[in-house]
Amino acid sequence: MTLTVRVAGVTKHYGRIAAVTDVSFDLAKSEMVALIGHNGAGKTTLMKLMLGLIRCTRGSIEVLGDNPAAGQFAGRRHLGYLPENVSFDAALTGRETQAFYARLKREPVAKALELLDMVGLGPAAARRVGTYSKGMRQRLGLAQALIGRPWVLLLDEPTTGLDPELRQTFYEVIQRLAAEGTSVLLSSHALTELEERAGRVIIMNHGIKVADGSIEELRRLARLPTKIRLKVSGLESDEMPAWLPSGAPCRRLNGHIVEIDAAPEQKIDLLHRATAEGSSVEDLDVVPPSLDELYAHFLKSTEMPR
Amino acid sequence: MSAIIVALKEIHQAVRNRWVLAATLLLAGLALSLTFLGSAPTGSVGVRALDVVVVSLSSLTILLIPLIALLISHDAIVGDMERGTMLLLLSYPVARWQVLLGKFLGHLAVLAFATCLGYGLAAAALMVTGSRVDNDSLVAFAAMIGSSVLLGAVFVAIGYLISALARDRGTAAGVCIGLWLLLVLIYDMALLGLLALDQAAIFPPASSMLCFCSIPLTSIGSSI
Repeated sequence: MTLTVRVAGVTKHYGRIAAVTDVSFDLAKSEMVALIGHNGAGKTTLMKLMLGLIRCTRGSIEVLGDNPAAGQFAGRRHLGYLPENVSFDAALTGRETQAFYARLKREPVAKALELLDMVGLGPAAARRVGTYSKGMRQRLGLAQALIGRPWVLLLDEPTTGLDPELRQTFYEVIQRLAAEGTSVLLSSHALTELEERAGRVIIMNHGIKVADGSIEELRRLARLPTKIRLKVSGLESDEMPAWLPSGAPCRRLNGHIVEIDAAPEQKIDLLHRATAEGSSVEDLDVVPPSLDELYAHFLKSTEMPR
Repeated sequence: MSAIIVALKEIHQAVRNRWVLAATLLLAGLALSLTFLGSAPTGSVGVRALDVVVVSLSSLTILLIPLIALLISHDAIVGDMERGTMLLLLSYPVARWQVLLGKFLGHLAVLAFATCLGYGLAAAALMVTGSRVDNDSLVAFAAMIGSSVLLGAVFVAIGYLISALARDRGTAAGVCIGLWLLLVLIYDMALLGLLALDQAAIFPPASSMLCFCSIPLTSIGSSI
């Protein structure tokens, strides 16, 4: 496993305010990591630290073998960054902007311009950026981040303002790059989107890393109940199936659906009971805790001790 | 090399925003009118026509070049920070000094282009209308353009300083206008007033402070 980014014990203070406190994590090649946390949790600060735009108060950061804070930026040629609320000089056209960024990265301009078609900006590329909508600026932002086959991609809220179709294309592109060895770190509020895609999730709260692992690992750690939804025929409106163990948390949803909160070790047992002895179960859904619920759980569990 | 890329983009933007056009037209228009109106009292005999133009254009330079330079430069850093374009630019493999140098070269090129073309038009018009122009006058004229561009460079740099220190664009613009008034108008007038009052030379530093006065400085520079 080759590391591309190493963040070790990083703390960043803005005056008295601690934006990030003692955060450590590594990014490996081909990893796609979601950085989640509400506004002000330190996501953008972490990205700026990795870019060397600001210096950490304590700790050390290494990106593609460089220390970004020391003004070493050879590695930045292989780094793509999409800032939150990206903006461009309004007077230039999309094509001129893309060409300018390609030149700065010493990449062939023609190849960079092909990226504009890929993000669906082809027809608008000759128009001034000043006339672009938010979604089009976001597309241009993506196109510039992808210039020159980046090895590390830092994407700050990349899918805001994108329509569903482009969102799909965006994730396809990112996943292809990740498969080819790019490390992708993306922050987002759209947790459901990330659920199936991110191999690893880092949850931040008030500048502290509260969880780090794959979704399965986080589910195991959180021990949140899995929801089992049953469609049962022939039940009275407030009646529960007789085979349910007493004390199992369950409720009725819109008429004939029974929802049971099953702790991880009860899950199989409950399913056995539900399907055994010709019970009147007509349909069955198993819903594992979503990333939303995991996120809420980890936030709550870190706030409790305070 | 990165600085050159940034400089070319600045020039491109200035052309697109019609900064180049506006500055050139302004300087050319004023220079042409000064050339023909300014030479009316002297007529076409006596003093060499181009020398008169050099003197009147240097007054124009003192007033206008600092203003144009500050207008172009006050937005360079704080504006890009506010719009968020600086954040993205600095994530590229380019050092901060390269960004600044690039902007400086670009802005200076715009200013130099406007000055050379605007003033050059005035000189050309003079020659076309049949005034005799000798070599000494041409040298003086070239020196005047050179010192105008240098003066512009100084004020572009001052503009960057303000732009780097200011918290928002409005403040930067206000400080720049204030500084222009102070350096270009008030300082000169105050000093001249002091010299006029100080006939008895009670205050010797006054005459030496003349060195820091922009009006004589450029006039001397251009008449050598």
